[in-house]
Amino acid sequence: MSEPSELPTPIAAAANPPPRTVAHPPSLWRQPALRRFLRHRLAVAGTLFLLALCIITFPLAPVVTQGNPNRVDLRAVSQPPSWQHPLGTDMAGRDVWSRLIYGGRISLAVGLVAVLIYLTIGIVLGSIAGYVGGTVDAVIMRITDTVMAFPGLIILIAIVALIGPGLFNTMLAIGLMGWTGVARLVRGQILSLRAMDFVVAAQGVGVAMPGVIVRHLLPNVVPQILIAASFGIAGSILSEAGLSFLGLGVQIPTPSWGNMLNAAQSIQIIERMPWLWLPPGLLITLCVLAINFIGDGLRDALDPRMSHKA
Amino acid sequence: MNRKDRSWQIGGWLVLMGLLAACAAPVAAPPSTADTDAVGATPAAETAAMPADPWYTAAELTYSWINICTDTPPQYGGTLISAGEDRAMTTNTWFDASPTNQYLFSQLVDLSTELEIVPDVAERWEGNADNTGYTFYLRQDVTFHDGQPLTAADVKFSLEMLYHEDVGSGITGLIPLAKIEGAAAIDAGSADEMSGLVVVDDYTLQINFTEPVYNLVDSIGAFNIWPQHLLADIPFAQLRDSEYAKKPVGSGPFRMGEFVPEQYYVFEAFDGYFKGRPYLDSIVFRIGMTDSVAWIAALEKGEIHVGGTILGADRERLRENPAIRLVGAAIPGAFSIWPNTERLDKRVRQALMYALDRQAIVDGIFYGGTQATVWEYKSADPKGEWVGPETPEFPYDPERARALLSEAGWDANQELAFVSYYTRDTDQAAQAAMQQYWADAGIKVRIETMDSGTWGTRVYEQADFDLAQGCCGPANWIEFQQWYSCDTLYPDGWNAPRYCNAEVDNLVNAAVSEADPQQRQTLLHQATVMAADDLMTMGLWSENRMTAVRGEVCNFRSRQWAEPFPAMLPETWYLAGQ
Amino acid sequence: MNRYILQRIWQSLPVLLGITILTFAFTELAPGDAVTAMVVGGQRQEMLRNQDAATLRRLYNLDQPAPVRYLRWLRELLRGNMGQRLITRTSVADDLWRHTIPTVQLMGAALLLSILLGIPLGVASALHQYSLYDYSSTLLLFAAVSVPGFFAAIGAIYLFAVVLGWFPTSGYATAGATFDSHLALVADRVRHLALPALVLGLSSTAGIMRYMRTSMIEALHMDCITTARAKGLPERVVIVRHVLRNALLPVVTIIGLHLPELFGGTIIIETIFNWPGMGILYLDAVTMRDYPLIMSIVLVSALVIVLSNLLTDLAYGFIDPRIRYE
Repeated sequence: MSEPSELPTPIAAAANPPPRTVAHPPSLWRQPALRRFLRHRLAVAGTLFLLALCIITFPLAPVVTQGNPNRVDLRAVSQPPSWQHPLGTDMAGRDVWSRLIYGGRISLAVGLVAVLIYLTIGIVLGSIAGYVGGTVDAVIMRITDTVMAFPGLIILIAIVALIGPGLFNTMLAIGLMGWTGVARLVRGQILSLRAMDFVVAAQGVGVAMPGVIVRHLLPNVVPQILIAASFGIAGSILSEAGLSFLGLGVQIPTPSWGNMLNAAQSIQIIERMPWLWLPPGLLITLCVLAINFIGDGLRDALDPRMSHKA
Repeated sequence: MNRKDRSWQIGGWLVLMGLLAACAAPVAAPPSTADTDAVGATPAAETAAMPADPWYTAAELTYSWINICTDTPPQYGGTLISAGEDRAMTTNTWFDASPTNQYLFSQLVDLSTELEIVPDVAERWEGNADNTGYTFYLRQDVTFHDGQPLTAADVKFSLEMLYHEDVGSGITGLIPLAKIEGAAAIDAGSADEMSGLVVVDDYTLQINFTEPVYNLVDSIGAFNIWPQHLLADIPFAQLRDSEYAKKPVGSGPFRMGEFVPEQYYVFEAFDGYFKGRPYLDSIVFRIGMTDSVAWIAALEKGEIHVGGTILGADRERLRENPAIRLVGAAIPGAFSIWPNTERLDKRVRQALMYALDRQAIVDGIFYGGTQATVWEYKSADPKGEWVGPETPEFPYDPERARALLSEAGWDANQELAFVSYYTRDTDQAAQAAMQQYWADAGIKVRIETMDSGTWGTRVYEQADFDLAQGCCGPANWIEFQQWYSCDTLYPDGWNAPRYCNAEVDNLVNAAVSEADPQQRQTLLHQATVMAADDLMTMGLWSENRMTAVRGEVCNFRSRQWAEPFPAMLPETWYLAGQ
Repeated sequence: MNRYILQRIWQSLPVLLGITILTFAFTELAPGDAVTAMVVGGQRQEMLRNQDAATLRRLYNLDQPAPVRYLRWLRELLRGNMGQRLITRTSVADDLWRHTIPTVQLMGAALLLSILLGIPLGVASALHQYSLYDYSSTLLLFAAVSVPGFFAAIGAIYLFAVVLGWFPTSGYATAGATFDSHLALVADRVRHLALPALVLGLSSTAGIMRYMRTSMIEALHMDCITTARAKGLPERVVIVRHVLRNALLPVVTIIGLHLPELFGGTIIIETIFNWPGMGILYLDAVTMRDYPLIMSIVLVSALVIVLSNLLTDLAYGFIDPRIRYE
C-alpha cells in the first residue's frame, strides 16, 4: 500500500500532479491552497452565507427589523405572516422576524464558541493520545471514559448551581461535555496514520512532535473534524435551548433559534403554524450545510489530489 | 413512457387519492351535549325533546363536567382504554397515589360533581351537640371484592392505618386524625388502637374527638375503606411489598385485574357492587402516558378513549375535533405567584397585581378565556362559606400601581427574581407578558427557570427569591390554616410566601374552635379579607380544567375541585356503539 | 491481545470507582435533596402538611452526613445489593432491570437501523459525489439533525401512526392484550419498536452517512486503490475489499460513540413514545434526587461506555493492522 505508483490512471483527473505521498508537504499552506478553496463554489457560498448571517444579526439587526424582538402584543397572538409581521407572531404576540434575527446572535455565538471549545480540547487530547501512545494514551483515554460516562443531567444541575446560569457558562458547559467524541475520533485517525512513511520520514528528519502533529497529521484529520464541527454547531444550538428548563441558556424573554424551535412541541403548532418553527429550523440547517461545504472546500484545498469540479 | 409505466403512474395516483380521502373523512361520534365551548353550567338551552324514559335530567344536560349521550341509552359491555391521567394510578405504587381511588374503593361519603356531600357507604350521619362526637350509620349491603361484608370495623381499621406513621399515604392533613381520642396514646406507643373510634355494632361507627370539629363531613370522605381481614396481619411498614399491594381488594365498582408494571393495569367490573354492576366490562389504564403528544395522538386515532388535560394550541385542536369532547370545569385554585412577604413591601405586592392586565392575558394566551378565567379571591369559594364578600379585587390599574410604588419608595433599578419550574408554552408566554406589564409599570423582573428540586431549595430552604411561581392557592380554609400561618414557616412547615400575620392566625384559630357557625363564618371572612389584602398569594387566573375524551364515552364525568376530588362515578360510564 | 484486554479491564476499575464518587459528589452539590424535591411533586403535597423537613429527613435517612451515606451505599453494592429508592422504598435493582430490557431493544434496533441505512447511503454518496442524489440526501439528513428530537417524533407519529395507521402511536406493547402465539407477541413488540427506533436512529444515520462518505472519498484516492485498479481488479472488488476497509475506521469510532449516546440521549424519545427505558428512569431519579437510583444508573451506563470503548479499540486492531497497542 505504500508503493508509489507512477502510472497515470484513467480514474484520477489528468490535471493532478503524480501522487507521491498521502499528505502534503508544508509548502501548500500558502497561496495555492487558498486558490483551490476559492474554486470550490459551494465552499465559497457557505463562507459568504455565514459572514452575511453574522453581519445581519450582529451590527445590522436594528436596521433590518423593527427594533424590539420582545414586545408582547396580546391582541396579535399567533398570527400568520402579514405586512406588519413578515413571519407572523408567536404565542405572546411577538414579531417572529425580529426574534429570528436577534435570536441568531445567541445561537451563532453559542454554536461557534461551544464548538471551538470542544474542538480545541478534543484535538489536543486526541492527538497527543494517539501519537504518543502507551501510558499517556491510557491515562487520557481513561479520563475520556470517565467524562463520557458522566450522566449529563445531574452534573448540569450541580454546575448551574455552582457557577450560575448565563450564556458563557452555557457555552462552557456544552463544550466541556462534548469534547470526548472529537478526542476519540482524532485519536483513531492518528493511530492509523502515525505508522505511515511520511510520518516516519518527518521524524527521521528531526521534526519535533508538535510539528509532526500539526503539519503532517492534522491536515488529514481536518475533514472529519469539520463534519464533527458542523453537527456540533447544530447540537450546541439545540442544547442551549434544550437545557433551558435547568436554567441554562438564555432566559425569557430573550429569543434564540433553539428556544423558538422548542416552542413548537405540539402537533397543532407543527401542522398549522409553520411560521413559528420553519424559519429557525431552516437557518440551522443552512448553517450546518455551510460548514459542511466549507469542510469540503478545505479538504480539497489542503489535498490537491481530491479536488473535483465543484 | 410506455403503457406499463403509465398504468403504474395512474395506479399510484389512485392510491394517493384513496389515502387522502381516508384521512379527510371525519370520524363521527354520537351526538352529545357536553358543550365544548361553555364551561360550567350553561343556562337551560333549547334542546331536542327528551326521550320517553330519560337516562339524564335536564339539569345534567347543562353541565360541562358530564358527557351525556342523548342518542344512546346506557348499555352494558365494552372495555375503556384510558391514558391514566385523571386521578388514576400512573406509577407502580399504590400507596403514593392520590388519597381516594374511586374505581377500587368506596368512601364513607362522596363530594358530588355538583359540589354537594352525598352518602356513599355511610347512609346517614349525625353529630352530637358540641361537635365532639359523630356517628356514622353504614349501609348493610356493601361487600369487598372477595365477598366479605364491609363493616364498621373496617372503617375503624382504615382510619388507624392512615394515622400510622409507617403508611404515610399522605391524606392525614385533610382529616383531623390527630384530634381523635386516643391518637396521643398511639403516638406515645402505649396503644395500638384509637379509643375514640367506637364500633357500636357492625354497621355503626362513632368517632369521638378531643376538641370540637366542625364540618367533619366535608373531609371524612377523603380516605379509602380498606379490608381489615386482609390487612390486619401485615405490618404496616411492609405494605408496599406485600401481595396485597400488587392486587388490592376494595369495595369499589371495579376489581383489580392484570397488572404489568411500567405498562398497564386492568380493572374489571365487580358484579357485587352495592350500587349495581358497572356498565363497562373493564378499564385498561396505560401507565406513564403523561406526555401530551402521546395521548393526543392516541386519542385522535382512537387508540384510547380517555386522555388527559391540556392547555394551549393543542387544546384548541381537540376542541375543534368533532370526535372528541372536553369534560370538566373551572378549578377553584388559581395559578399563583407566591411573593416573598419578608422581602417585598405590601404596597409593592399590590402594585405588582395592579400592574397586570390579567384579562388581556387570559384573552390573548388562553384562547379568549375558554381555557382560563381571571381569578379573584372569591372564586375559591363561590358560596361564600369562608371567603368574605369584601375581599379586595385587583383589576388592571397601572396608575394605582405607580402611585403605590412611589409611596413605597421603589428603586426602579432594582431587579426582582422570579423563580419558576413551569415551562409549558402557555406558561412561558404568560411569563413574558407579565414581565412586560411590570416593566411598563417600572418594575424590573428577571425570570429564572430551574428544575423543581432546585426551586424547592431556593424557595423553602434559602428563601432566596422575590416571586415564586406555584400552584393553586388555598382552596379551602383547612389549607389556609396549615400552609400559611406563622407556625408553618420553614423548617417547621412549608409556608412558601413566608407569610406571618398574627392577627390572621388569631382569627383563624378562633374560628376553628368557635361553636356558633355564624360567628365562625364571620371570623373566617375577616381573616380572608385581611390575607387577600396582604396578598399572601397572588392568584392570577384559574384554569378550566377539562379532560379530553372520545365522544362515545357516555356519562363520563370529571371535575377537579378541592380535595377530596368530586366523585367520578365510573360505574355509570358506558361506551356507545357496543 | 488477551493481555491488552485484561489490562483494560484492570484500568477500568478505578475509573468506575471514580465515577461513583464523582456522581455522588455532584448529586450532593445539586441543590435540594429528596425532601425538597418531594414538595413539588403534586401528590406528596398533602404529606408535607403535617411533617416538617427535619422529621421527613430522619424518616428517609437523609440526616446522615454524605460520606457515611456513600460508604454505606458502596458497602451494600459490593454485597450485591443495589439498595432501595429513597421515598417509595422499592428495589432499585427491580426498577433497573425492568427498564434495561426496553432500552437495549430500542438502542439495538436504532443502532442496527442507522448502520444499515447510514453505511450504504454514505457509500453511494461518495461514489456519486456532487450528484443530485448526494445533495438531496445530504440536505434531508442535515435537516433531521438541525431540529430537536421531538420534531421527528411528532412527525413520525402523525404520519405513520395516526394518518397511515401502520404502527401504534406509542407504548411498549398493546395494553391489556393476550397473544395466541409467540410470533404474535413478537410482532406486537416489533410494531411498537419501529417508530421510536426510526426516530432515534435518524440522527445517528446522518452522522454515519456523512463520515462514511468523507472517508470513502479519501480512501478512493489512495495509491493502493490506483494500484488495485491498475492490476485489473473488477470495480466492485476494489470498492468493497480495499476502499471500504480503509474507510471504515472513523465510522467505527462514530458507531462506538453512538452506543453511549443512545443510552443517555433517549429521554425525549422515551417520553413521547411512552417507552419504559432508562432515560425516563434517570430523569425521574434526578428530578426526585433519588441518589441510590442515580448511582446505580450511572454505574450501569459507565459500564456500557467502558465496554463499548474497549470494543471500538479492539475493532481498530482488526480493521487496520497498522494500529498496534503497546
